Amino acid sequence: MNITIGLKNWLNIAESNENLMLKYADSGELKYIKEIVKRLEKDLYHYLFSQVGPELASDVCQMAWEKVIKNRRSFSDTGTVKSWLFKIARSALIDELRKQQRWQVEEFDESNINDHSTPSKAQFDVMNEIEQQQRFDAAFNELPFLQREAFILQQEGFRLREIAQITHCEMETVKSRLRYAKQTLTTLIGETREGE
Amino acid sequence: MSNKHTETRLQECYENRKKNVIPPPNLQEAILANAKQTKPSIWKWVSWQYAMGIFVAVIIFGWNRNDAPLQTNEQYSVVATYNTDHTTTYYHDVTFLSADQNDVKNIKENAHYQQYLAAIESLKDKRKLPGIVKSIDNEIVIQVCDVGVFQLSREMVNHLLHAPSHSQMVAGKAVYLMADENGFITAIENRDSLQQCPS
Repeated sequence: MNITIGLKNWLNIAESNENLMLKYADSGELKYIKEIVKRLEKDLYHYLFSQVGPELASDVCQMAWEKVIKNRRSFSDTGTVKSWLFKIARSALIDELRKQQRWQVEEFDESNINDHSTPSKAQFDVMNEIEQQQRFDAAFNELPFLQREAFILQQEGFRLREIAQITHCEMETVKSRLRYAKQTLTTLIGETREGE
Repeated sequence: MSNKHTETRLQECYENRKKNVIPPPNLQEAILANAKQTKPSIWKWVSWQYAMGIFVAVIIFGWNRNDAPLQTNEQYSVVATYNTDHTTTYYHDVTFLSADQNDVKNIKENAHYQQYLAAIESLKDKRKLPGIVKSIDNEIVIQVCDVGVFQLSREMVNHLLHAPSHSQMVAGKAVYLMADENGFITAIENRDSLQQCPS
């Protein structure tokens, strides 16, 4: 056991978020939560920022962390800290949007895909990475809330099951949202999928 | 282009986008400030005792005369501070101390003790403090109307409950804390529960 700890220290292997959270729940020592915040703050902020913009993202981010700190003892090591945090943040976000009467989502809007001008084959060839990035950003911002959410969560490393848990829906629904989101994005940035 | 290539390209675009979204510089500070305020109950006591060592000024010593129902000559401390909900809290009898006339003198000159006396002075009868029994973090406390939370040590509660005119300490019960001329609790008595906080 001591050898393992020694090796870990020697190799400077970072402690998992889950271990840090369990230690924080147990001791309340600031250093543990500080490390977790340092690791996950940017991911969470980006998710919230992408969904509602900077102002509300900052507020909801704080609310979510406050809840994590307050309910630290209810964290269970059966899931990851990151998925727990995102789940809390998402609930806080939707509560806030409901309070502001801004919570209005449509499940699927396929018409969106064809509303944008798709670059021609010739345009693809000359489209440089900067242009592609700009098109991606524009398309990303215009994705419906739930599709963008599913896409972000997948890019953040969550598995389908975790996304379904965070967003309180079925895995099949998550798959559909991802399919639509990626279809829109790939079409608009000028990438094409085989067989499509 | 292959699906793999597309996935990679989407991932790259996503990562590039993410790089440009930077959290406000004060966000982490605000989150950690909240974490600093929230501590588990055991830490509340540890840090409170630690703070007690540093801020000697918040410690007030008292003693009970022979005429008090506590029937003890020991002094006990009363500490005026705040709990985790930022409510003014008066911790009574956290530690028993030996009787020392010098300490008695110190108590009366202590600003926090004067503050405590001034707080109970606002009540109609400072010898009879109306309150409601509550339970916070497994500790029995009494919310004294218009003054703050009074937390009595378990030893003190046990002592008072063995007194002849004791009241059961059940959450939600309306009680009077009977205080002596120095503001130290000498007994707990029943109060008409219909009248939560007398105006």
